[in-house]
Amino acid sequence: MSKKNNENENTETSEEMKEPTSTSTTQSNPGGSKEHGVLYLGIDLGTSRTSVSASNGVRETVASYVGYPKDVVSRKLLKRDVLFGDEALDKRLSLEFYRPLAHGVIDCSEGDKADVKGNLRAARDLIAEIIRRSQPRKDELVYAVIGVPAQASIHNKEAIIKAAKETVDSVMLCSEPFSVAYGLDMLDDVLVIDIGAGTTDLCRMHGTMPEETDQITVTYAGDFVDNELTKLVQESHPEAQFTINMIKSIKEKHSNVSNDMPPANIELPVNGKPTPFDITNEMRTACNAIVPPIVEGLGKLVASFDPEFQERLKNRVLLAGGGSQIKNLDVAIEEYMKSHLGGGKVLRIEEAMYGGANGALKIAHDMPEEYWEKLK
Amino acid sequence: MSVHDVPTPAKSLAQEDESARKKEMIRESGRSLRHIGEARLMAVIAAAVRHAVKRTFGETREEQLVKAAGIAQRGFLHLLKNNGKSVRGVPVSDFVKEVEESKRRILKQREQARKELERVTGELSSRREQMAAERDDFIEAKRADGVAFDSRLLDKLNELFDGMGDSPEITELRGMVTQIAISSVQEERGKAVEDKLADHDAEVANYQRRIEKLTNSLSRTEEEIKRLAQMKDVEGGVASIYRTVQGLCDGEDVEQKQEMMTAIFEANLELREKVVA
Repeated sequence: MSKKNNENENTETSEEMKEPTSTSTTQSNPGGSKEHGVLYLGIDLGTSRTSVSASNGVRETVASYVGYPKDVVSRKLLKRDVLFGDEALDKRLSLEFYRPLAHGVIDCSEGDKADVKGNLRAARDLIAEIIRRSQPRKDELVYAVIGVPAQASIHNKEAIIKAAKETVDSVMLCSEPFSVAYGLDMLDDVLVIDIGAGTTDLCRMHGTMPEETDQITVTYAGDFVDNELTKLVQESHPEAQFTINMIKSIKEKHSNVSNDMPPANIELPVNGKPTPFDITNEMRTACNAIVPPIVEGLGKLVASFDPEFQERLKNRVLLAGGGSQIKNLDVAIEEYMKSHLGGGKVLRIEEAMYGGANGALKIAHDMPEEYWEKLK
Repeated sequence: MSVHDVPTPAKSLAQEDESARKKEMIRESGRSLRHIGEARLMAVIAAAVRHAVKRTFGETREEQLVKAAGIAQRGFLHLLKNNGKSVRGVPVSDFVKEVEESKRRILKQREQARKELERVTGELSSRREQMAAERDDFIEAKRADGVAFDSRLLDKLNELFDGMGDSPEITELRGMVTQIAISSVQEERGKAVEDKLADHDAEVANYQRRIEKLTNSLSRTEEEIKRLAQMKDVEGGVASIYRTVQGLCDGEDVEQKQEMMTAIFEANLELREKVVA
């Protein structure tokens, strides 16, 4: 895709946009019930965690788990109709348990109808919960931008919009990797790697909105590492008893791709007795497993870019998302890029947890009022 | 008008320039502040305090600079924390408690007013029935008394005139005196009934005034309860730093960003249309 062509195509729009119509909040809200301010929300709807950054200074994150009491007894015991995050995970045995964004998008393509309905309901409740946690005032307009995975289907987007519309005045969706780059003002010649739990989004930024051809989504992400690690630990320590959730917690604590990584000494039960294990090699191998497919994806995005700017693109790789917290991953990607793409420079974002939400918040702030009004 | 555009008293041109420059700085810094981590923010505050101390007091000892920076950082965090958790300078929990207390007090007042209204309305209703019966009895008693009195009066007048002969003049005088005496007595009797009825009407009017007053008081407490309920809900959240819708400001890459905003909007509009279709 030519950068020049894109600039020409958008010139007219740009001229039209120079002086966006501005009406006051009160005017835009003749009911008069919301005339005391505007709260912007940037939401990162992730497989593993859902985060919000708000213009009232509130930043919240919740694990993307939702649970509903299985029966009257558990409802009475839990004293709530719905539980979220780690609390839901802890009490999952008494709950109808959902991880609504299991594959990076709302899981509604597989299973029976009840599962689909349950996942949609859980996604809706999760969105409502994260908005509630941003503590909006009832007299303020609430405008939200939600970062969604690049490959989310229309059905998914529709469900997200519907859920958000119940609690906000106007909502827009945008691609997650784009919001990360926008939040850091890196709009030109940047490659974004957004490693989530379900998917890794690779996105090429070249001064305009990325198109479908600028984005690649692969499933080599956090969950893949968990599965790899599970497999490796099972192979090397077949006597150990564990679940995928235990592996996930261990990974969050010890993940590292360095050859000099500190030893990953853990305890797992064997016949009910906590037993120490050293899983340093397994951890490194599992974490490293995502590096080649990610660099391969980057290679594709670089190769299809204007040759004049390919070198610059390779030297501006932004590493974001929860998966970017794997220690030394930036160095490992750089080394792999060097051997397979002839070089590259990777910059890890400061706040892995809130990078997407911060970017979405910035988009919400910069969005002209007339656009919000039209989407109400 | 943005949150920073608060009107100020008249200033000199230089002051206005300075003020505009500061506002611009705050606006620009504010845009970036939202995206930096706490550690970096603390480092920036420390650097700013060091700079300010050195500039104001000249060369200063390192430990004093460290101390001043520490005080500023702690103060900043304290203010930030308190601002986030306070409403008009009062901690949110205290504020909510205060609102709850007011609500309880007003609910009590409403309950009292409602009970009083019910009592007065009931009293008026039963008093009305009672008064109607009293009035009928009074009128009936007056009528019965009047008939007997008129009869006795006629008897007395007849006795008086019987001894005076039956000349035409006396007969005429007898007729006139009898008519005047009876009509005067009846008039007085009518006045007594009217006075009694007026007393009843005054009592009813008094009841009605009390009812009106209680009804007004009740509606005022209802309004107050509604207002408190809204206040509690409104103050429950954390206020945004923005009073109005923002949008892009002049700055670097503004046209490029405008194009991007348009593209995002158009994609969302298209999505809505597809969803509707």
